[in-house]
Amino acid sequence: MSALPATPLDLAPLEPILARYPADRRSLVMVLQDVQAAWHYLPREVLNRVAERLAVPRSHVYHVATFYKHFSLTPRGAHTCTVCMGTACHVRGAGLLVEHLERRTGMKAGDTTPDGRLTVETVNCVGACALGPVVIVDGQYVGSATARKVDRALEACMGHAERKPEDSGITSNGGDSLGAGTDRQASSVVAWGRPPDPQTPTASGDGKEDTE
Amino acid sequence: MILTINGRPLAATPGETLLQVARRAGVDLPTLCHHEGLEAWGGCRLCVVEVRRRPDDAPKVVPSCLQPAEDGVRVETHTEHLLRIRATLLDLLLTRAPDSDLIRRLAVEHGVSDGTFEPRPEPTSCILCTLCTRACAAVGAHAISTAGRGAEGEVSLPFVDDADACVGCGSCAAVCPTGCIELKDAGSRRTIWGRTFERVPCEVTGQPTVTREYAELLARRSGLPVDSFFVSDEGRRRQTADRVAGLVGVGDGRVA
Amino acid sequence: MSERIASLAALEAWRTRLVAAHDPKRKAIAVCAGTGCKAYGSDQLTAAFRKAVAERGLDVDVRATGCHGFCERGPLVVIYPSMIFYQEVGRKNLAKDVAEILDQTVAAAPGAEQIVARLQYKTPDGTPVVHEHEVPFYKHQNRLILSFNGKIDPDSLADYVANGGYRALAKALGTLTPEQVLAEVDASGLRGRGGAGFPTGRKWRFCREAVAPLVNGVPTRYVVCNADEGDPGAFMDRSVLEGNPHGVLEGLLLGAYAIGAREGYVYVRNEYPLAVQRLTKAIADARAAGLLGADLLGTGFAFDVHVTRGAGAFVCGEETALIGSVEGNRGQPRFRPPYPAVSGLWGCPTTINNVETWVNVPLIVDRGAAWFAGIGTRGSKGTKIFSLVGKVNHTGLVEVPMGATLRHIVEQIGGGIQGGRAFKAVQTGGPSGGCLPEPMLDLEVDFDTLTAAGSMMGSGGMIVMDDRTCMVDVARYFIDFLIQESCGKCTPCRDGLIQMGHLLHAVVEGRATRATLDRLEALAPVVRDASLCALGQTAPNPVLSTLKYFRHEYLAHIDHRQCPAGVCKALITYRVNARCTGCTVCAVQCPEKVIAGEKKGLHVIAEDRCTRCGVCHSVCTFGAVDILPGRGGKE
Repeated sequence: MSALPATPLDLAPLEPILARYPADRRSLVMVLQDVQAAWHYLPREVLNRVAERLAVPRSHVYHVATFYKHFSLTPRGAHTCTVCMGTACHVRGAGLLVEHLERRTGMKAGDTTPDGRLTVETVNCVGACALGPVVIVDGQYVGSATARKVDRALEACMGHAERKPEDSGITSNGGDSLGAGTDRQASSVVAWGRPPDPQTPTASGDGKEDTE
Repeated sequence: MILTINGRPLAATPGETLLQVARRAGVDLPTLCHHEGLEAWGGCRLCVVEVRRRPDDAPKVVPSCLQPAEDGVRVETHTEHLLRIRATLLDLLLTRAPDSDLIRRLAVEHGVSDGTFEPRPEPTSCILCTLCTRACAAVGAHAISTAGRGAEGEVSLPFVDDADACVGCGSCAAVCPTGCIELKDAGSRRTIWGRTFERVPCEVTGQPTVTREYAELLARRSGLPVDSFFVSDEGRRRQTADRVAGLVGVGDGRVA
Repeated sequence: MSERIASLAALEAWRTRLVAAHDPKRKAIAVCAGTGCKAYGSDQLTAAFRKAVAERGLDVDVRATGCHGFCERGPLVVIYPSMIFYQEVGRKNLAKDVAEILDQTVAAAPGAEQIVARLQYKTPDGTPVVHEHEVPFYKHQNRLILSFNGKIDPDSLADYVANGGYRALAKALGTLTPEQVLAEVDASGLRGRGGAGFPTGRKWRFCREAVAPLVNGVPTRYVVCNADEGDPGAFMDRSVLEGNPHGVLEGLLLGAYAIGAREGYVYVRNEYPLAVQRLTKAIADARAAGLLGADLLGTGFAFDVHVTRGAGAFVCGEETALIGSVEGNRGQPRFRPPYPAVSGLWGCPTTINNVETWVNVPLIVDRGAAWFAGIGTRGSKGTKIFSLVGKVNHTGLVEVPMGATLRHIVEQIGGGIQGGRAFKAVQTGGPSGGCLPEPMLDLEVDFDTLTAAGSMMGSGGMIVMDDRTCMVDVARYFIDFLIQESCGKCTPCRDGLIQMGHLLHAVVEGRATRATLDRLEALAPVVRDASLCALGQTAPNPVLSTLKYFRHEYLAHIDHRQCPAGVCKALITYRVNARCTGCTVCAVQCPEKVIAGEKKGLHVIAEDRCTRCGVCHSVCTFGAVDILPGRGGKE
């Protein structure tokens, strides 16, 4: 995936896009798709040019651009993590995966991390239903996804090989497990653009023991 | 062609809609998104009626503003089912737009005194009838459109703040049924969509007429000179009176 | 092969040469290259086979084919001609699997092949199966359309022709009038496979008989392939487009000939990049061969087709919205009449059909209407492809004759419920459909039968649910989906669905009363009857069908504040049971840090702070985390 476009906006990719289609309103959706592919979003300046060249009002371009979920008017992250929310994926727990990602990044699905590195989004069915839940990380399909698999795929794409997710097994911390792993959690979260949480004090014995 | 509405046989001509036929017959069908000067939209759904082609058909619910009149069709406009539909629609709209007098009046007429559903986090009087955007496209400058999809939709300038195309004609505010488009006229100064315009004074009466920007748009569309739009209705009446007086040859305005 | 085929005779001559050149005894390795198997690495697998075959100097054809359908067991490999079936190839050890398959199965003399046992399909009682057609998943199907997928390389026009492709087109252009082609489709009884089931021949006839406006002096009609496939959980069309793009093109060509169109569009959802790629290549190859463009096969017939992509709007599956989108606008539905058959794309008569409908057409023209009408029920002819997904043992694409029972699909083909759990419901028709409980499993798959039962055929999504699926949550899921996808034009759908969503959220969040259900049942018919298009009109179906068959579940949420299936977070409790070994993994993984326990000691979840995120349950390998209905305290 390419990095965010540098400022000021480079409009060079627009000419070849416009050359591909007839210069009238019929071409609008196709042009917007190519613009989205070239800039990873729909920059305002580019849309204004498109309006001029296709001889349609700016209000119409905005009207069409804001209708389709695929189009984004704000810059997307350099990396994308897409969770499929189709029915088959839903019954196999896709919603929990979204929550996991929202927790790790500190933002809602659909948003981009403040450092512009990662966009987490949902999509309504990629048609790989037998492998649900499906998560797509930078174009790579992760089938039968679990939180751990997704974490690993993201770290492979975003280059944090030094941070390994917890493997199953007994940790070296004895005693009170509350609070163990907090440090490691926080550092991975920082890597994905969210500022670290202040250390929460470990709770101990507030009388809520439940014995069966 | 002959069709029946509520059992009454009525004549209709090809190309008419059921709404036109009904209204001509004095049948009161409520509408919100409809305007005689604009193409029918069929979005508010208040004007729905039941139609049957044959007497033992199941009735079909259709918007009368769009459904073409057909020979022999049987139309019902106020069945219990339709009244329940209209009441629910108005309940939904009143929940959405509690400050609109028009919606409230219509709702009360249908037995709904207050919106009973869960209100929006921020109420708005906009019911997305799109009369404003359609008027802007038809007689204005294509400056506004609906942005976003579904219940997140909003009438908006491009990118929320690009008012470059607006010419201050005020058509949007004029057609809005709930009065939620802010248009402020203070003397000759008009503020709308975050822009200020000057309305040019009438060359006869001195009262504000249209903005220069709108006059230029109208001039381009009509081929008439720009200045011809800087005469108010009252000004034109006086001009016409003077001309008639001149033709009849009575200099002081008395008719011979 | 990119030479132009100049005549009907030249096409047949090429076909004869291809068939003659094919040695049926020659070994081939067919590796599935559908999106599902690719996700499991089938591209690397194909490359590894090719390399290893070359290194060993074997005379074996390695081909990447379209989706075989048994997606969950990918990557799938079939060895020709013996049809030996292997699953999950390369998942654990690519090099070893490739080497053993080549050395033991492929390189051996026919009859002396050895099977790599660990890669075989095994029935639930452990019996291994050797051949593809013996695998229960495939054995109980009737794969008329999907049969192409396993055999042909979708990027190869030659493969399609060698397997009978474009024979129907040649027959039509050479020996049938457009009216005769239309009559054949009409007589076959084919009904639209996109969901509505409208008789295809009748739709074509309306279009053919409609007055065609002149565009550049030419009376113009259009044919359109609706490949938006928006129903979540459905991927039949994806598989056909990826696996047999020429089949779709041939269908469009035949339709255009019958109706009098010279141009067509395939509208593909944006989320299917591989389908777009395969289709684009197929179109390029067809153009080069003279199967698209002007003067096809020297007959004077002209037709060309364009691919346009959706941009993330479910409503664009509705035909008038699709037209809007192709025209460069929003995908906002329009009032009908006029119907697209009379006035569609740019005001011209337009026939819009689903992918699966189009791909049936060459079969009908080739083998005849009587043959097609001999399959299926009285009201529903031919086969139907379903995407069988959810809680069954065998998930994937399934093709059965109309009239097969739901039980046959779920139990014989699907192999029953995963983990031996209890069947609860099968959902068909996507967000427009309904959920059917166990007593309805003996219903036949038939347009009218399913509609009468409160569901619908839909496009083919078939989602199986077990006792751990909450039916109220399913209704909520579909309404939330439709709220996002509503175009917003009409009040009942735009504002009504939001309120139905609020009411359903109240139920799943434990805030509802009986009055909530009353309001839901009062609002649903208004949305159904007053909405502009099928999205709004069918939106209440999942709610109404779950209320009809699973009312007790709604009442458990409302009266007892419990989610019996263990799904709705506000109405369940996570609790560690006696199987806990004290491995501490759950405590370490818990994002809220609410699990206490010593190493090797029983762990305890602080239930009032637990957010029911599900992490502990998914990481525990001892089954020591229970999900109990209800909140707080002991039972």
